[in-house]
Amino acid sequence: MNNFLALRDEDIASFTGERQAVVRRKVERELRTAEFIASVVELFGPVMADTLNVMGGGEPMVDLDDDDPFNDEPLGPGTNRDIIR
Amino acid sequence: MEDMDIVLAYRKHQHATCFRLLYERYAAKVYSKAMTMLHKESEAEDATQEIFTKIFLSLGKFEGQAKFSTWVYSITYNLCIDKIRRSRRSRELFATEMEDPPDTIEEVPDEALMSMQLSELRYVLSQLTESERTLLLMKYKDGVKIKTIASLLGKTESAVKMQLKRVKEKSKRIHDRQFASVT
Repeated sequence: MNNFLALRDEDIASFTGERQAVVRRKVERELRTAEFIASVVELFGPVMADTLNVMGGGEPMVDLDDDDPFNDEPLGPGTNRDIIR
Repeated sequence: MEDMDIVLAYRKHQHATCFRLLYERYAAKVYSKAMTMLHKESEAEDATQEIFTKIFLSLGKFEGQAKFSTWVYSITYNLCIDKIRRSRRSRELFATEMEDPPDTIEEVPDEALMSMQLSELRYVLSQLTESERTLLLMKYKDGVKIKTIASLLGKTESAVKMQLKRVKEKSKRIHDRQFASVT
């Protein structure tokens, strides 16, 4: 028998159970951290970039939420003749 | 379920089950290869952690042209080689020529190494330098092809063959010196 393969089988057998699980949990934690950082960058990245841009004297690129984009007066009661009373 | 199916499912849903399936399929094999390169359990364990983090963070780059296992093992060897280079403890692994090459090298058949008892093999490996041990284990324990070893270590195939030939000859010499009188 090729005892090099026996060495390989020993290594494989030694990395099971709790040892394997401990490393898996560490990897999962690192992946969660990476995912969190990516989400933060995705969420705040454009706003941060725009802030820096404006601070540097540029025009804002990101539209802030505007609930009245056309500056129209709201329709008051009695001005709309289509309303059937 | 094929590796590629799990990879695609993981990319789509980032589901923990897909992660665990791939991890359980490859963790021990990756650890064994890290042991080939780094020789210390704690270092191999740390490397396994880094390798899997790297694998799952760059899963989007895997296009399926090579087998998933080939891709995983190339990440494994490359990361271990980076670690060795950073620690600078085994420069000779990357050297193209040995410092003191013998004039004639006896051709040792593979069977001479394969037929050693496990305890004898362990003794022989312990007497080799780190780079000699790595080369021998890559070839005979992990079954890595000469061409792949050459490209991983940045050497020519003939340089790897020559180095391997020397290591085999040295291994046999160590073995015979220690065990020939016993058997």
